[in-house]
Amino acid sequence: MTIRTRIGRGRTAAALAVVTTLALTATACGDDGSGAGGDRGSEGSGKGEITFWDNNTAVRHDIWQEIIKDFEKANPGIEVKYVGVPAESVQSKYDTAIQGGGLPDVGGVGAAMLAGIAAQDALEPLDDRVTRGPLNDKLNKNMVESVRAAGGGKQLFTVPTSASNGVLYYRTDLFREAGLDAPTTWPKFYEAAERLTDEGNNRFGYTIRGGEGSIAQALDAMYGQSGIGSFWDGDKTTVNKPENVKALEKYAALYKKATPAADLNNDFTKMNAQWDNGRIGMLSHNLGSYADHVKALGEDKFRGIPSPVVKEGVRVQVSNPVDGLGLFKAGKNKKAAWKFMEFAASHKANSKWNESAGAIPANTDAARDPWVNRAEPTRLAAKALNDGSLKIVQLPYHLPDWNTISKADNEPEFQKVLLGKTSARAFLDDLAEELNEAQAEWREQKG
Amino acid sequence: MRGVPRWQIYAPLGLYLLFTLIPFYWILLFALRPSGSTSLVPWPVTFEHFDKVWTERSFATFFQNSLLVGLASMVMTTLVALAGGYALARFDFRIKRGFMLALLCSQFIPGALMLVPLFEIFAELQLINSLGSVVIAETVFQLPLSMILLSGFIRNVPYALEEAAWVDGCGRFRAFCAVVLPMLRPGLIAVGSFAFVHSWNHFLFALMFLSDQGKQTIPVGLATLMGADSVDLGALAAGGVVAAVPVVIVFAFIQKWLVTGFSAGAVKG
Repeated sequence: MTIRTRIGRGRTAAALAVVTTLALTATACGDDGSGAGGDRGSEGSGKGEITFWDNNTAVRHDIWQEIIKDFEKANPGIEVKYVGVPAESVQSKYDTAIQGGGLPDVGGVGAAMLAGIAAQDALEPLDDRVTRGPLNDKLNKNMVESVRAAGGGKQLFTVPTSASNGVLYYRTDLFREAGLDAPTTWPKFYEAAERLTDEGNNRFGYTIRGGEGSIAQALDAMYGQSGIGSFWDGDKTTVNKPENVKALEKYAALYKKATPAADLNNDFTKMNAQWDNGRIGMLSHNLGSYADHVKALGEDKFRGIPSPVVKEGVRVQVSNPVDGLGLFKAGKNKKAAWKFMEFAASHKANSKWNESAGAIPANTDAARDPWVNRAEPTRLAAKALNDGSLKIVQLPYHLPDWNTISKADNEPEFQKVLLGKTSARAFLDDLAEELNEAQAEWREQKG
Repeated sequence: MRGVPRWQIYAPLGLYLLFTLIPFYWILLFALRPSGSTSLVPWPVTFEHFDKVWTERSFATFFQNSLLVGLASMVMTTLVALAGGYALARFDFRIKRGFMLALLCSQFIPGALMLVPLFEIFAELQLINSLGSVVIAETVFQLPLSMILLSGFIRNVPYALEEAAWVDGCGRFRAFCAVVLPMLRPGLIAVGSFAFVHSWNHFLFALMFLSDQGKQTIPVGLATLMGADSVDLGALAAGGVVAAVPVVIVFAFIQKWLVTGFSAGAVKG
């Protein structure tokens, strides 16, 4: 049935309806946020409201509320608006705000995403502000260098707040029952993985990360065994050196021999939940999950130690992203925002935050606080960092493509290695080629 | 189904039900058992996780916001789709085929692709950080499918009924309200509930357009419970239950009309 009458009137009515709808919705309250990536912002009066985006709100929400309360009490006239952003989506939220506007004044920026944000010219260089203020010489030098390198090597774009080092968690009760030594060396690690496995009774020696985030963990195990202490040899990566290939072959061979088959899709959530709720001997993760393990298992049933040593006194670990706070260029009240950053990185607040997170404080005074020695994994990680036995292999966070290379491009490839569909050598050769190209491109852009 | 033993019907259905319900049981288990418990039954029952998400993690506010977004999107989508569906069903115009094709093609555009342009438009309209932005975006993205569905329903209503109402002195609008609208109930319920559930569950627009803790919605709230290194599974499960309840209720009440609605709308394009 077709009708051509009244169409003109219908069109007018439709146009009116659209205009009315838009007008009505436009009257809804809202603000346009602050500027986009290219905006220069301003220093402001040092008073008023600032917005802070927390990049890992899940378990940090409460401690940030406390710190903000302390800050507002110490700085009357400045109000901090806290926005918790899901850790998984924080990169895309920043990217959208850089393009479209609405960036915060201060934001949590981990080293892994720093290169991408700094490359978009969204962050204020902080070297001068740090050296002129109370944070001068109060920040852990390794962490400062780590975030400086991640930001391109020249300028400091974030104030580091914490590092969450890699930890090998193991079940002391299961080790005792099996008469095994603590997995402090790689041979002991492999022996325990094998002897604690009893597939028929759903008991496994180790849980491997085969899903999201698998590459960093595989690289950690690989460099940890090979003892190669640097990611780069000149401008060529060392990932596919024969020692690394051999190490990865051995590590990947654990899959299904000493690990559950479901590990193929393990992200950290599944891996940790599996370890907390089952009878699995060992788990590689970082300090961030310590509190969850305590909650699930109690303090007596497990320990968290640094990665096994290559040989007596030599331990190699890949860098875990250093977390930090960035000051956004587009902010309209940078003076107040910087005051908040200084406060958050100060001895008391940084100590409080890291104690709650179970991480290593970036503030050197906070790192000497008594609580650091009370939590064993934090104490051992801090000791390993400071006693000269640990070589840190800096992952190439400075490459804007690193996230793509280490996630979308190569996580499925690593799953093929676990399944035996591709060899460790082929996987590492392809990874090396991609990394070398990205490094060359970065050099070229850097000039 | 005479002659078929009952067990041949109930056994596969039971298995399917078990397969579907186990994940829900798992969520309830984590939500109701105390932290650190490894028991496979939620005993002793604790509501600490619900208390935590509802009060400490502002799920009461997120729930309210999601409800507002869901209901507003539902009303706007249904109203506009009704008008558009009527036009598609009853009028003939030059670009009708192209328009229908464009509606269908728009379904292939992922929301993420439109994020930055939408963000800029909403910023211009001063709508960033307003629930209005999410309602508009949700409505716009759900309109094509809803219009196509409703146009199918309207086509199934005999045009002669409308004409009879005109003869009796009704205008087009009154005839539509008095004659066509009552016959569209299954379609309206299908489209409305679909719009509500979609908006209720949608994460991306709420995450990107709302940067105020007090304006976030349930899906964003749930995502904020998952940290980079640590997850409070009890709280996450309790949040999941809170998020699932309205959807379960909606489906429990409307499932009869929903099935009728989708099958009726699918008869004729």
